[in-house]
Amino acid sequence: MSHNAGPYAIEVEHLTVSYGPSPALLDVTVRIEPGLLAGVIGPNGGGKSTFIKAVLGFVKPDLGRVRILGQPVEKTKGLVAYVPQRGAVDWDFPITVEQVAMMGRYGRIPWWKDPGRQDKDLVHQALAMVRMEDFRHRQIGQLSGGQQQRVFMARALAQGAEVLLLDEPFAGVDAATERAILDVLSRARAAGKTLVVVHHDLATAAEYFDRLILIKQRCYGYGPPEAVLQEELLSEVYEGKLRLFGAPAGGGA
Amino acid sequence: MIDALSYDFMQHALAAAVLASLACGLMGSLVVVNRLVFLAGGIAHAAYGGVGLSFFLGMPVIPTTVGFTLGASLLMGKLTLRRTDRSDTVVGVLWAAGMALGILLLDLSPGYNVDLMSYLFGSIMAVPGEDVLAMAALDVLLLAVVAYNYQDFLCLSFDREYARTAGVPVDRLHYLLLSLLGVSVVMIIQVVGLILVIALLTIPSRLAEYGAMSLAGMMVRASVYAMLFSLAGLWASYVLDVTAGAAIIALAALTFFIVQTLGWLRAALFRP
Repeated sequence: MSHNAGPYAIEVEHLTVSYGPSPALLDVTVRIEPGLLAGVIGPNGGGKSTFIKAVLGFVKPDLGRVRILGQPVEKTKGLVAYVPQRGAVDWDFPITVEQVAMMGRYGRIPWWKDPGRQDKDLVHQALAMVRMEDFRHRQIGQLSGGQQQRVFMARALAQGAEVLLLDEPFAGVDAATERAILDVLSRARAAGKTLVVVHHDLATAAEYFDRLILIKQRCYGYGPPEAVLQEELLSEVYEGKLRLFGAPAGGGA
Repeated sequence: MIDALSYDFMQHALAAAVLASLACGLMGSLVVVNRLVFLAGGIAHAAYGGVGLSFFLGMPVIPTTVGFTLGASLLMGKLTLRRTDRSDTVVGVLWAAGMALGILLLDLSPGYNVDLMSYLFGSIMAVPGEDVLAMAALDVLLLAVVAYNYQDFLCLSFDREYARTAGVPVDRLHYLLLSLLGVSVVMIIQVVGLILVIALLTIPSRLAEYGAMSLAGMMVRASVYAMLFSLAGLWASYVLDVTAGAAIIALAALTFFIVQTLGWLRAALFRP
């Protein structure tokens, strides 16, 4: 498949989204280069998930536009994939690891055909990349939290997605699992994928990501971690609720 | 029991039970994994409006009820598509309104003194031969539509948001699913009646979900379980001389509670 990649993997311009009278996102403009691992940070309720959903086209923007690899998001079927939060998945569902990954191929298999050799190869490659081959016949409820995240990454990879959006993959997993997920994210980046990850732990943000997007309704910063993790910027966004960089932001009281 | 099989009404009852079980296994699995049990209840009760309408207008019961129920299903589908704004409350309103409409229309129908109980608990011992054929045709329709759309239904049921990005026509499938459900509900009402239709849609499917490795596997198992409950319930109703529909559901519910209790006990005893 050929597509006009353009200079950016994701271009978000003047994006404004509202659910009620006040906007969840206001005039957000971000351009993310391909092949990067980018973290979306910001306070709870600040619009991180809305940002991801708007990029995916799940929510209609009031204003602004989103382009994926130079094309409007509606025309990029398959090139962009979503890895849901663990809590959003029905773990009782009668489905195996392999079937979830094969779901990534469904958009490309006509209804009258069964998955072919090429589809099966792509599914196995995707499961190998996330190191879940040995679990392919397990029902998904029998996996650990980190393994479950990796299965959904495999689905996105099997789909052939170039841009992956992940909603809090590190939420509620232990340190070893966090490492394993990060390892898989790095492998996907090495394969040329662009990854955008909603993340809530500022302490690890600089270590994990090539770029950070700081969002609280507006975009307060986009760039390398050292450029975004500025104390005055963070204390403005987190309103002094942050105690990370030495002295408490609000002073003695 | 063997001599019972020589009666036409018993043969029809067995055929109706097997055919309804197949529909229940297919649709019940989709209802359970899509969490549509409440909606299915709404559709089943709104269907009673269609029964009332057919008697009031003097039209054939099955086609009129199927048409009315399809309309109610699509309306509820429209209201619940986005799962916002108290859509479950609206389903509750339609649930009650459909039922009340049916009763009022029956009251106003001249010369008809319809046995309400037969619609509530079913009349499996009095299924005419042509209804058995109609149910067989509906089973073929359900099998064909579900097989044709299996990948899409799997995607829709498992992860709606993903299905949208993968290009699955989510809205169209949602309406299709509810239309099939509406048709199936009318069909199953013939066997176990209005009140108990939910049990035959949910209990075998939930039991089938334990240990199932695919949605298709769950559907096959749910159909087999529903058949076993139906046949055992028919036998019990013949031996004990009790209402067949109620006997089928009592057996299914009892099995469900036993399995649930064993599950809880096992979790309590073997997990630290």
